[in-house]
Amino acid sequence: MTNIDRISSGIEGLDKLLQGGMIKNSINSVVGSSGTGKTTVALAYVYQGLLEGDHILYLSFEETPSKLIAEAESLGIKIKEISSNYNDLIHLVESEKIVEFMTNILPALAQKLKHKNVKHTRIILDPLTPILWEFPSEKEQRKVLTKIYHHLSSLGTVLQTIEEPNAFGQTDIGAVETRVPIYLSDSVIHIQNLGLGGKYNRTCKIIKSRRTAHHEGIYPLNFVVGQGIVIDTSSIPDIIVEPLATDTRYLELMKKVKEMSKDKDPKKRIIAQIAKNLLGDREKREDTRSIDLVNVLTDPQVLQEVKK
Amino acid sequence: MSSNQGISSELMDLIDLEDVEAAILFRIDGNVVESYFGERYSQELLRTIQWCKANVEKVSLEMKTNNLNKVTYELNDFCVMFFVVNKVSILTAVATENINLSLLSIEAKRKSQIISSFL
Repeated sequence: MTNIDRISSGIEGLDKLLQGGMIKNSINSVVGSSGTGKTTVALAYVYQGLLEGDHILYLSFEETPSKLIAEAESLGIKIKEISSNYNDLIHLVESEKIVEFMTNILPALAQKLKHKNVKHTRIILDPLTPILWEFPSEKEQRKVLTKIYHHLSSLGTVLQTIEEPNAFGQTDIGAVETRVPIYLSDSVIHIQNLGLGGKYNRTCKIIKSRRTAHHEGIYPLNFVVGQGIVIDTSSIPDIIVEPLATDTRYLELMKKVKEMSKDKDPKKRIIAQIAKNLLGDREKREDTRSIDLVNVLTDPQVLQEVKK
Repeated sequence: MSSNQGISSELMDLIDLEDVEAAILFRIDGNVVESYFGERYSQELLRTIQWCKANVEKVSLEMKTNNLNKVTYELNDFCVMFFVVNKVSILTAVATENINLSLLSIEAKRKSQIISSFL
Protein backbone atom coordinates (compact mmCIF):
# COMPACT_ATOMS: atom_id res chain seq x y z
CA MET A 1 0.00 0.00 0.00
CA THR A 2 2.95 2.31 0.59
CA ASN A 3 4.69 2.06 -2.79
CA ILE A 4 1.86 3.44 -4.91
CA ASP A 5 2.70 6.49 -7.00
CA ARG A 6 0.53 9.38 -5.84
CA ILE A 7 -0.04 13.00 -6.83
CA SER A 8 -1.03 15.92 -4.65
CA SER A 9 -4.65 17.03 -4.93
CA GLY A 10 -3.79 20.65 -4.18
CA ILE A 11 -6.33 20.68 -1.34
CA GLU A 12 -4.83 21.15 2.10
CA GLY A 13 -5.86 18.20 4.25
CA LEU A 14 -7.17 16.00 1.44
CA ASP A 15 -3.81 14.37 0.76
CA LYS A 16 -3.61 13.46 4.45
CA LEU A 17 -7.06 11.83 4.30
CA LEU A 18 -5.98 9.90 1.21
CA GLN A 19 -2.70 8.80 2.79
CA GLY A 20 -0.53 10.86 0.47
CA GLY A 21 -2.74 12.00 -2.39
CA MET A 22 -4.57 10.60 -5.38
CA ILE A 23 -3.18 7.49 -7.04
CA LYS A 24 -1.65 8.25 -10.42
CA ASN A 25 -3.84 7.28 -13.37
CA SER A 26 -6.88 6.76 -11.20
CA ILE A 27 -10.46 8.03 -11.51
CA ASN A 28 -11.43 10.32 -8.65
CA SER A 29 -14.90 11.70 -8.05
CA VAL A 30 -15.94 14.72 -6.03
CA VAL A 31 -19.63 14.41 -5.18
CA GLY A 32 -21.68 17.22 -3.69
CA SER A 33 -24.82 19.25 -4.17
CA SER A 34 -24.84 22.74 -5.71
CA GLY A 35 -22.59 25.27 -4.02
CA THR A 36 -20.59 22.82 -1.96
CA GLY A 37 -17.28 23.63 -3.69
CA LYS A 38 -16.82 20.90 -6.30
CA THR A 39 -15.52 23.27 -8.98
CA THR A 40 -13.21 24.93 -6.45
CA VAL A 41 -11.71 21.51 -5.70
CA ALA A 42 -11.22 21.02 -9.44
CA LEU A 43 -9.57 24.43 -9.83
CA ALA A 44 -7.21 23.79 -6.93
CA TYR A 45 -6.34 20.47 -8.55
CA VAL A 46 -5.51 22.31 -11.79
CA TYR A 47 -3.39 24.86 -9.94
CA GLN A 48 -1.40 22.15 -8.19
CA GLY A 49 -0.88 20.44 -11.54
CA LEU A 50 0.46 23.64 -13.07
CA LEU A 51 2.84 24.06 -10.13
CA GLU A 52 4.11 20.52 -10.68
CA GLY A 53 4.48 20.98 -14.44
CA ASP A 54 1.69 18.59 -15.37
CA HIS A 55 -0.27 18.81 -18.58
CA ILE A 56 -3.86 19.96 -17.95
CA LEU A 57 -7.00 18.94 -19.79
CA TYR A 58 -10.02 20.62 -18.16
CA LEU A 59 -13.30 19.74 -19.85
CA SER A 60 -16.05 22.00 -18.67
CA PHE A 61 -19.59 21.03 -19.59
CA GLU A 62 -21.26 24.12 -18.20
CA GLU A 63 -19.05 27.11 -17.42
CA THR A 64 -16.94 29.09 -19.86
CA PRO A 65 -13.16 29.18 -19.27
CA SER A 66 -13.25 32.90 -18.41
CA LYS A 67 -15.95 32.32 -15.77
CA LEU A 68 -13.98 29.47 -14.21
CA ILE A 69 -10.80 31.52 -14.12
CA ALA A 70 -12.71 34.41 -12.52
CA GLU A 71 -14.01 31.99 -9.89
CA ALA A 72 -10.49 30.74 -9.22
CA GLU A 73 -9.16 34.30 -8.97
CA SER A 74 -11.89 35.27 -6.49
CA LEU A 75 -10.59 32.56 -4.16
CA GLY A 76 -6.97 33.49 -4.73
CA ILE A 77 -6.17 30.46 -6.91
CA LYS A 78 -3.86 32.22 -9.31
CA ILE A 79 -4.04 30.00 -12.37
CA LYS A 80 -3.67 33.05 -14.60
CA GLU A 81 -0.30 33.89 -13.06
CA ILE A 82 1.15 30.54 -14.07
CA SER A 83 -0.64 30.01 -17.34
CA SER A 84 -1.61 33.20 -19.13
CA ASN A 85 -3.36 31.36 -21.94
CA TYR A 86 -6.00 29.56 -19.95
CA ASN A 87 -8.00 28.77 -23.08
CA ASP A 88 -5.43 26.05 -23.74
CA LEU A 89 -6.19 24.47 -20.38
CA ILE A 90 -9.95 24.76 -20.12
CA HIS A 91 -12.24 23.62 -22.91
CA LEU A 92 -15.96 24.22 -22.94
CA VAL A 93 -17.88 21.29 -24.39
CA GLU A 94 -21.30 22.44 -25.51
CA SER A 95 -24.24 20.30 -24.49
CA GLU A 96 -25.23 19.30 -28.05
CA LYS A 97 -21.69 17.99 -28.68
CA ILE A 98 -21.31 16.00 -25.47
CA VAL A 99 -22.09 12.57 -26.93
CA GLU A 100 -19.86 13.06 -29.95
CA PHE A 101 -17.10 14.48 -27.80
CA MET A 102 -17.13 11.72 -25.25
CA THR A 103 -17.46 8.83 -27.66
CA ASN A 104 -15.27 9.99 -30.57
CA ILE A 105 -13.20 13.11 -29.97
CA LEU A 106 -11.97 12.27 -26.45
CA PRO A 107 -10.51 8.84 -27.28
CA ALA A 108 -8.77 10.39 -30.32
CA LEU A 109 -7.45 13.22 -28.17
CA ALA A 110 -6.16 10.71 -25.62
CA GLN A 111 -4.28 8.86 -28.34
CA LYS A 112 -2.81 12.10 -29.66
CA LEU A 113 -1.56 13.16 -26.23
CA LYS A 114 -0.09 9.72 -25.63
CA HIS A 115 1.96 10.05 -28.78
CA LYS A 116 3.13 13.49 -27.72
CA ASN A 117 4.90 11.84 -24.78
CA VAL A 118 3.34 14.07 -22.15
CA LYS A 119 4.79 13.21 -18.69
CA HIS A 120 1.55 13.29 -16.73
CA THR A 121 -1.85 14.80 -17.44
CA ARG A 122 -4.45 15.98 -15.00
CA ILE A 123 -7.87 15.51 -16.56
CA ILE A 124 -10.89 17.28 -15.15
CA LEU A 125 -14.49 16.53 -16.10
CA ASP A 126 -16.59 19.29 -14.54
CA PRO A 127 -19.37 18.32 -14.06
CA LEU A 128 -19.92 14.78 -15.26
CA THR A 129 -23.67 15.08 -14.66
CA PRO A 130 -24.64 16.35 -18.17
CA ILE A 131 -22.92 13.30 -19.69
CA LEU A 132 -24.98 11.04 -17.44
CA TRP A 133 -28.16 12.79 -18.56
CA GLU A 134 -27.33 11.89 -22.15
CA PHE A 135 -27.35 8.20 -21.21
CA PRO A 136 -30.36 7.67 -18.96
CA SER A 137 -30.07 3.92 -18.47
CA GLU A 138 -27.53 2.68 -15.95
CA LYS A 139 -26.42 -0.03 -18.34
CA GLU A 140 -25.61 2.51 -21.02
CA GLN A 141 -23.90 4.82 -18.53
CA ARG A 142 -21.72 1.99 -17.36
CA LYS A 143 -20.76 1.07 -20.92
CA VAL A 144 -19.88 4.63 -21.96
CA LEU A 145 -18.12 5.57 -18.73
CA THR A 146 -16.03 2.39 -18.69
CA LYS A 147 -14.83 3.22 -22.19
CA ILE A 148 -14.08 6.85 -21.34
CA TYR A 149 -12.30 5.97 -18.10
CA HIS A 150 -10.21 3.40 -19.91
CA HIS A 151 -8.91 6.04 -22.33
CA LEU A 152 -8.51 8.78 -19.74
CA SER A 153 -6.78 6.75 -17.05
CA SER A 154 -4.16 5.63 -19.55
CA LEU A 155 -3.50 9.31 -20.16
CA GLY A 156 -3.39 10.65 -16.62
CA THR A 157 -5.21 11.17 -13.35
CA VAL A 158 -8.87 12.06 -13.63
CA LEU A 159 -10.88 14.25 -11.30
CA GLN A 160 -14.57 14.48 -12.07
CA THR A 161 -17.28 16.39 -10.25
CA ILE A 162 -20.74 14.90 -9.83
CA GLU A 163 -23.85 16.79 -8.80
CA GLU A 164 -25.61 15.19 -5.88
CA PRO A 165 -29.41 15.43 -6.09
CA ASN A 166 -30.86 17.72 -3.45
CA ALA A 167 -34.59 17.53 -2.79
CA PHE A 168 -35.96 19.88 -0.12
CA GLY A 169 -32.59 20.09 1.60
CA GLN A 170 -32.11 16.31 1.69
CA THR A 171 -29.16 15.10 -0.38
CA ASP A 172 -28.91 11.56 -1.69
CA ILE A 173 -25.51 10.18 -2.65
CA GLY A 174 -27.04 6.83 -3.61
CA ALA A 175 -29.35 8.38 -6.24
CA VAL A 176 -29.57 7.01 -9.79
CA GLU A 177 -27.65 10.05 -11.06
CA THR A 178 -24.58 9.27 -8.97
CA ARG A 179 -24.62 5.50 -8.61
CA VAL A 180 -22.74 4.40 -11.74
CA PRO A 181 -19.84 6.90 -11.64
CA ILE A 182 -19.38 6.25 -7.90
CA TYR A 183 -19.30 2.53 -8.56
CA LEU A 184 -16.70 2.92 -11.31
CA SER A 185 -14.49 5.49 -9.56
CA ASP A 186 -11.33 4.59 -7.71
CA SER A 187 -11.94 7.19 -5.06
CA VAL A 188 -14.98 9.20 -4.03
CA ILE A 189 -14.83 12.39 -2.00
CA HIS A 190 -18.18 13.51 -0.64
CA ILE A 191 -18.58 17.16 0.25
CA GLN A 192 -21.68 18.42 1.96
CA ASN A 193 -23.21 21.64 3.14
CA LEU A 194 -25.03 20.52 6.27
CA GLY A 195 -26.32 24.00 7.06
CA LEU A 196 -25.45 23.67 10.75
CA GLY A 197 -23.27 26.75 10.91
CA GLY A 198 -19.73 27.25 12.18
CA LYS A 199 -17.22 24.46 11.70
CA TYR A 200 -20.04 21.96 11.24
CA ASN A 201 -21.43 23.72 8.17
CA ARG A 202 -19.37 22.19 5.36
CA THR A 203 -17.86 18.74 5.66
CA CYS A 204 -15.80 16.29 3.67
CA LYS A 205 -15.78 12.51 3.86
CA ILE A 206 -13.91 9.92 1.82
CA ILE A 207 -16.55 7.43 0.73
CA LYS A 208 -14.07 5.09 -0.89
CA SER A 209 -10.50 5.00 -2.07
CA ARG A 210 -9.22 1.82 -3.63
CA ARG A 211 -5.78 0.58 -2.54
CA THR A 212 -5.75 3.20 0.24
CA ALA A 213 -6.29 2.89 3.98
CA HIS A 214 -8.04 6.25 3.96
CA HIS A 215 -9.41 8.06 7.00
CA GLU A 216 -13.06 7.28 7.68
CA GLY A 217 -14.28 10.35 9.53
CA ILE A 218 -16.20 13.47 8.57
CA TYR A 219 -13.94 16.52 8.53
CA PRO A 220 -14.71 20.27 8.46
CA LEU A 221 -14.13 22.00 5.14
CA ASN A 222 -13.65 25.72 4.65
CA PHE A 223 -13.22 28.15 1.79
CA VAL A 224 -10.01 30.08 2.32
CA VAL A 225 -8.89 32.93 0.08
CA GLY A 226 -5.50 32.06 -1.37
CA GLN A 227 -5.92 28.32 -0.98
CA GLY A 228 -9.40 27.64 -2.30
CA ILE A 229 -10.56 24.87 -0.04
CA VAL A 230 -8.98 23.64 3.17
CA ILE A 231 -9.96 20.47 5.02
CA ASP A 232 -9.35 20.62 8.73
CA THR A 233 -7.64 17.38 9.70
CA SER A 234 -6.33 18.59 13.05
CA SER A 235 -8.44 15.93 14.81
CA ILE A 236 -6.32 13.20 13.16
CA PRO A 237 -3.28 12.13 15.20
CA ASP A 238 -0.03 12.87 13.38
CA ILE A 239 1.44 9.42 13.85
CA ILE A 240 -0.11 7.01 11.38
CA VAL A 241 0.04 3.37 12.34
CA GLU A 242 1.47 1.02 9.78
CA PRO A 243 -1.52 -1.33 9.99
CA LEU A 244 -0.11 -4.62 8.77
CA ALA A 245 3.17 -4.53 10.66
CA THR A 246 1.85 -3.41 14.03
CA ASP A 247 -1.33 -5.41 13.92
CA THR A 248 0.63 -8.65 13.77
CA ARG A 249 2.77 -7.48 16.68
CA TYR A 250 -0.35 -6.33 18.52
CA LEU A 251 -2.08 -9.69 18.12
CA GLU A 252 1.03 -11.61 19.18
CA LEU A 253 1.47 -9.44 22.26
CA MET A 254 -2.20 -9.71 23.20
CA LYS A 255 -1.89 -13.49 23.08
CA LYS A 256 1.21 -13.34 25.28
CA VAL A 257 -0.49 -10.98 27.74
CA LYS A 258 -3.57 -13.23 27.91
CA GLU A 259 -1.40 -16.20 28.83
CA MET A 260 0.46 -14.12 31.42
CA SER A 261 -2.78 -12.99 33.04
CA LYS A 262 -3.52 -16.66 33.89
CA ASP A 263 -0.10 -17.18 35.51
CA LYS A 264 0.12 -18.29 39.15
CA ASP A 265 2.64 -15.57 39.96
CA PRO A 266 0.70 -12.44 41.08
CA LYS A 267 3.57 -10.19 39.86
CA LYS A 268 3.15 -11.57 36.36
CA ARG A 269 -0.59 -11.04 36.53
CA ILE A 270 -0.04 -7.40 37.53
CA ILE A 271 2.38 -6.92 34.65
CA ALA A 272 -0.17 -8.51 32.33
CA GLN A 273 -2.80 -6.04 33.51
CA ILE A 274 -0.42 -3.09 32.95
CA ALA A 275 0.45 -4.43 29.51
CA LYS A 276 -3.21 -4.87 28.66
CA ASN A 277 -3.95 -1.28 29.65
CA LEU A 278 -0.99 -0.04 27.63
CA LEU A 279 -2.08 -1.90 24.53
CA GLY A 280 -5.58 -0.52 24.89
CA ASP A 281 -8.27 -0.79 22.29
CA ARG A 282 -7.16 -2.01 18.91
CA GLU A 283 -9.16 0.64 17.06
CA LYS A 284 -8.10 3.49 19.31
CA ARG A 285 -4.36 2.91 19.07
CA GLU A 286 -2.60 6.01 17.87
CA ASP A 287 1.05 5.11 17.79
CA THR A 288 3.47 2.24 18.15
CA ARG A 289 5.12 3.39 21.39
CA SER A 290 2.81 1.38 23.67
CA ILE A 291 3.48 -1.74 21.61
CA ASP A 292 7.25 -1.27 22.04
CA LEU A 293 6.78 -0.77 25.77
CA VAL A 294 4.68 -3.91 26.16
CA ASN A 295 7.25 -5.79 24.13
CA VAL A 296 9.87 -4.87 26.75
CA LEU A 297 7.49 -5.59 29.65
CA THR A 298 6.70 -9.09 28.46
CA ASP A 299 10.29 -9.94 27.62
CA PRO A 300 11.25 -13.19 29.43
CA GLN A 301 14.46 -11.60 30.77
CA VAL A 302 12.59 -8.66 32.26
CA LEU A 303 10.07 -11.04 33.81
CA GLN A 304 12.92 -13.03 35.29
CA GLU A 305 14.33 -9.85 36.83
CA VAL A 306 10.92 -9.04 38.31
CA LYS A 307 10.69 -12.48 39.78
CA LYS A 308 14.09 -12.04 41.45
CA MET B 1 -28.69 45.71 19.03
CA SER B 2 -30.32 43.90 16.09
CA SER B 3 -32.33 40.76 16.72
CA ASN B 4 -29.67 38.66 15.00
CA GLN B 5 -26.93 40.07 17.19
CA GLY B 6 -29.13 39.54 20.24
CA ILE B 7 -29.73 35.88 19.41
CA SER B 8 -26.03 35.33 18.68
CA SER B 9 -25.02 36.87 21.97
CA GLU B 10 -27.48 34.68 23.94
CA LEU B 11 -26.24 31.51 22.23
CA MET B 12 -22.64 32.51 22.88
CA ASP B 13 -23.52 32.93 26.55
CA LEU B 14 -25.00 29.45 26.64
CA ILE B 15 -21.85 27.98 25.09
CA ASP B 16 -19.80 29.59 27.84
CA LEU B 17 -21.45 27.29 30.37
CA GLU B 18 -19.12 24.47 31.34
CA ASP B 19 -19.66 21.26 29.35
CA VAL B 20 -22.02 22.86 26.82
CA GLU B 21 -20.71 21.95 23.34
CA ALA B 22 -23.37 23.43 21.05
CA ALA B 23 -26.20 25.92 21.21
CA ILE B 24 -28.47 25.99 18.19
CA LEU B 25 -31.65 27.85 17.41
CA PHE B 26 -33.65 25.61 15.06
CA ARG B 27 -36.70 26.41 13.05
CA ILE B 28 -39.16 23.57 13.67
CA ASP B 29 -38.63 22.32 10.09
CA GLY B 30 -34.98 21.59 10.94
CA ASN B 31 -33.33 24.66 9.44
CA VAL B 32 -30.71 26.36 11.56
CA VAL B 33 -31.41 30.01 12.40
CA GLU B 34 -28.21 30.54 14.40
CA SER B 35 -25.65 28.28 16.00
CA TYR B 36 -22.57 28.35 18.20
CA PHE B 37 -20.17 25.54 18.98
CA GLY B 38 -17.38 24.83 21.42
CA GLU B 39 -13.82 25.19 20.14
CA ARG B 40 -13.01 21.50 19.80
CA TYR B 41 -14.22 19.70 16.65
CA SER B 42 -15.82 16.36 17.40
CA GLN B 43 -17.30 13.86 14.97
CA GLU B 44 -19.52 12.43 17.72
CA LEU B 45 -20.89 15.92 18.33
CA LEU B 46 -21.51 16.31 14.59
CA ARG B 47 -23.50 13.07 14.57
CA THR B 48 -25.53 14.29 17.54
CA ILE B 49 -26.24 17.66 15.91
CA GLN B 50 -27.26 15.91 12.70
CA TRP B 51 -29.63 13.78 14.76
CA CYS B 52 -31.07 16.97 16.30
CA LYS B 53 -31.55 18.53 12.86
CA ALA B 54 -33.23 15.41 11.53
CA ASN B 55 -35.53 15.06 14.53
CA VAL B 56 -36.35 18.60 15.56
CA GLU B 57 -39.62 18.54 13.60
CA LYS B 58 -40.75 15.33 15.30
CA VAL B 59 -39.67 16.57 18.72
CA SER B 60 -41.43 19.90 18.31
CA LEU B 61 -44.64 18.15 17.28
CA GLU B 62 -44.41 15.92 20.32
CA MET B 63 -43.80 18.93 22.56
CA LYS B 64 -46.74 20.77 21.06
CA THR B 65 -49.09 17.79 21.33
CA ASN B 66 -48.20 17.11 24.96
CA ASN B 67 -47.81 20.75 25.95
CA LEU B 68 -44.15 20.28 26.96
CA ASN B 69 -41.71 23.16 27.42
CA LYS B 70 -38.58 21.08 27.69
CA VAL B 71 -37.40 17.69 26.46
CA THR B 72 -34.08 16.03 27.29
CA TYR B 73 -32.41 13.18 25.42
CA GLU B 74 -29.22 11.32 26.16
CA LEU B 75 -27.37 9.92 23.15
CA ASN B 76 -23.81 9.37 21.86
CA ASP B 77 -22.38 10.40 25.27
CA PHE B 78 -24.15 13.73 24.94
CA CYS B 79 -27.14 15.26 26.62
CA VAL B 80 -29.49 17.14 24.31
CA MET B 81 -32.02 19.61 25.65
CA PHE B 82 -34.80 21.10 23.53
CA PHE B 83 -36.61 24.23 24.73
CA VAL B 84 -39.61 25.82 23.09
CA VAL B 85 -38.87 29.42 22.10
CA ASN B 86 -42.06 30.17 20.20
CA LYS B 87 -44.42 28.42 17.78
CA VAL B 88 -41.82 28.11 15.06
CA SER B 89 -38.45 27.85 16.81
CA ILE B 90 -36.72 25.63 19.30
CA LEU B 91 -33.55 26.23 21.27
CA THR B 92 -31.26 23.21 21.45
CA ALA B 93 -28.36 22.81 23.82
CA VAL B 94 -25.96 19.90 23.42
CA ALA B 95 -23.71 19.16 26.39
CA THR B 96 -21.42 16.39 27.57
CA GLU B 97 -22.83 13.89 30.04
CA ASN B 98 -21.03 15.65 32.92
CA ILE B 99 -23.30 18.68 32.62
CA ASN B 100 -25.23 19.95 35.58
CA LEU B 101 -28.69 19.40 34.10
CA SER B 102 -30.51 21.69 36.52
CA LEU B 103 -28.20 24.57 35.76
CA LEU B 104 -28.49 23.99 32.01
CA SER B 105 -32.25 23.77 32.31
CA ILE B 106 -32.51 27.09 34.14
CA GLU B 107 -30.11 28.83 31.76
CA ALA B 108 -31.69 27.43 28.60
CA LYS B 109 -35.16 28.41 29.80
CA ARG B 110 -33.96 31.95 30.51
CA LYS B 111 -32.22 32.15 27.13
CA SER B 112 -35.25 30.85 25.27
CA GLN B 113 -37.39 33.58 26.85
CA ILE B 114 -34.88 36.27 25.89
CA ILE B 115 -34.53 34.90 22.35
CA SER B 116 -38.30 34.80 21.95
CA SER B 117 -38.37 38.54 22.65
CA PHE B 118 -36.03 39.06 19.67
CA LEU B 119 -38.20 37.09 17.26
